[in-house]
Amino acid sequence: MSESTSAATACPKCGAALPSDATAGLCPRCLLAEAMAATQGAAEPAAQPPLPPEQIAPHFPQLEILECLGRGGMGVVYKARQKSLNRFVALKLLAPERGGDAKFADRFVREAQALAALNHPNIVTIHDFGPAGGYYYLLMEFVDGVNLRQLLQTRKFTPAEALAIVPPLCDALQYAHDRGIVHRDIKPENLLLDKDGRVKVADFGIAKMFGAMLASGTAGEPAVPEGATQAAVGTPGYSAPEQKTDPQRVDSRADVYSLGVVLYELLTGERPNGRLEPPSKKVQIDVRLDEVVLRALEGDPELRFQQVSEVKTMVETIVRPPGNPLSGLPAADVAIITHRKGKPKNMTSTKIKMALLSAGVLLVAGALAIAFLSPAGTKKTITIKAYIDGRDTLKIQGKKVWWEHEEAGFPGDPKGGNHPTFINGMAWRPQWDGTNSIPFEALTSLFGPKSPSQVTLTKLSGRGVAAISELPTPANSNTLALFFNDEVGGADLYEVRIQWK
Amino acid sequence: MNAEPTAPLPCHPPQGTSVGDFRTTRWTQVSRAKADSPEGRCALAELCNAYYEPVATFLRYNLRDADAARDLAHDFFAQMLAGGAIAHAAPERGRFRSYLLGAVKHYLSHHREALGRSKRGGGVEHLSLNKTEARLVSDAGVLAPDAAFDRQWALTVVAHALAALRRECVAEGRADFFERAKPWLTGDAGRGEQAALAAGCEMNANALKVAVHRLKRRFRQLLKAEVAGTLDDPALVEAEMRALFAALGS
Repeated sequence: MSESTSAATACPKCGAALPSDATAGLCPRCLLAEAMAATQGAAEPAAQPPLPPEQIAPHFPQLEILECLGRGGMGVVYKARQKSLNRFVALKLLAPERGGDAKFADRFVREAQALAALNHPNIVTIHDFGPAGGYYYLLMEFVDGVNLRQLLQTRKFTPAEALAIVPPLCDALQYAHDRGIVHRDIKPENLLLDKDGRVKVADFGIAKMFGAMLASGTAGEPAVPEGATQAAVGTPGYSAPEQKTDPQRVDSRADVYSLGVVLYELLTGERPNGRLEPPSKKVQIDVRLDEVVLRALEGDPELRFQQVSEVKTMVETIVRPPGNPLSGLPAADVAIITHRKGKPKNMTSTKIKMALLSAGVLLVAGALAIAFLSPAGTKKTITIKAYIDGRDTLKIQGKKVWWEHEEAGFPGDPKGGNHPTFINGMAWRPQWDGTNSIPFEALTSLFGPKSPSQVTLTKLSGRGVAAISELPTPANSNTLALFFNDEVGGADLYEVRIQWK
Repeated sequence: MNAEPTAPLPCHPPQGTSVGDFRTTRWTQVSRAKADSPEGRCALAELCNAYYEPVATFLRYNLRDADAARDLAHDFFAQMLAGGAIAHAAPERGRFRSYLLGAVKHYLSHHREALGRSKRGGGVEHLSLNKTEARLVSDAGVLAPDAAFDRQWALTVVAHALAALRRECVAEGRADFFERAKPWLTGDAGRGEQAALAAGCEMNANALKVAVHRLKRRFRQLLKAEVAGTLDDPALVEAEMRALFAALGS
């Protein structure tokens, strides 16, 4: 290993000195920080430690118990290998056996058989079940992947990713509902993503089974005993209101509610709390999705979607096929945007813009694919998305909009920031030839240079809201200038929303 | 128990002899080894080989002479592995890092005494300051030798873990994926970049998420294993990692 010498460069993220290439070009401090953060975040509650595989193995001679995969509210899951078929399986150990209780055994068997009848690519399959080693066990399909909770903990979902999960999830739920089975505990921990990116719903109906198990423990008692509350009412935060207030009347619409919570969380990063802010206020998504999410989250089951498949239909009509916002267009229009005969230099910027505008399509610039934008803003609102920093000024004058970027030594140089900008969804990249403004006609707004009634600045590439220094008033009587705070950072994507009454 | 190597499992209490990573037990073996057992010596040799750099750095910062530092480092390790007085001098056995630093300091003070003696006897050696030394001198002004040792230790630990991860990926035929995905080990990257990576690796976006998540998790496991290998008590891994992070602080 080469000797480490004093650093010529520093890490752009943490500022620490970077040593020679011992760590493959990555900052060792950031590597360590990232590894530590996740470790601490994922600290497991030190409840009773699950049984080690060696203790379980004797009860399952047909299996080779490999490792403990984790623990949920209702049991511990192990990865195992089914010797006869040489395949991986997941073994879930549930509550302790109620010895000799015929009524319970009967109920358990019926429940488990109903679950086993669920045969769907997006539902984790049940292979076997029964009592063993003092526990009840479930032998299930092993899903080689992670659950959505793990993904949520480590990174955010883009709206596209979140919505891509909805159709297969709805298919799975509808399939089960059609067969009279309600999940009752839909939450990110129960939604698995395998290494091929396929969604699988786990623990279907377990809640009902579990409730049955614990309920039968108290002979003849109709009320749900304490231990079963969790099982019957699902997981706080995800369960529908009626699961708590009226558990007897819980039906498939409870799953619709939980689906709504999960969707809200995937889109916004947070679970809905008391106030219930529409997701489009928190993330850049189509406002029509608000309706879908909010309707799924209706407190009264009668007001929700009555079928999970309705959710899927709504989402699919709002969303274009993910990954290719241009896919709905005829091939010719796509060609105009992505390919030009000859070098770009031959076409002046104006001509390109006109061609784009006549095609009436959304431009895809680099990796910034705009799949989910509000429909072109109402006449009196202009929405600008761009990477900006505290040295940028946005100016609006008459029918022109442009950036001014203050370089050191060249204050007020009208060359403009060289960052990609989207105004009401249309891309605009300032040119260096002086024509760095975009005509108003391209925007649906027709307001003149008067003071806006509201300007909001939202940081899109992280959380939090940055501020504009003050509500801008037109200077020089015909120019509107927006100055941004010093805290606004150049590497982050911001949205500026300007509204005129 | 199965034959395939598994990383330390979150549900298991730490075990003295884990089936998996050999490094997990190395320092434990050494510190508990009676006198000069062959296993103890072998483990010590492995550890010394792995953590040569921090010692060399410490000596360099002290002597301000890269060549002399290298010579001394070799001599130091030779004496350590020969099981001489050096090996038993340092009392701190909980952490190999502290132990090694103590041992090299002990060694250095002896060496300086010896140097002093030979100076009195004549035959003074002049240390010339060529360009390399000048840079090292200025480094020494910035960082104390102890701090330099710890910092280099931290770098070594991280480098080992990363190299181990890379070896695993190469062995699984996923060298290309490793090279493309490794920036994620330092934190999240932009969504656009993930999309590009997914396309480059011929995976869909969700499959990539899962793969990256696992890579990060495996790196964490390897890093913890590397750190645990230098500790007597694996329960101190978190504290040691925090100390290493602090050492990289400046």
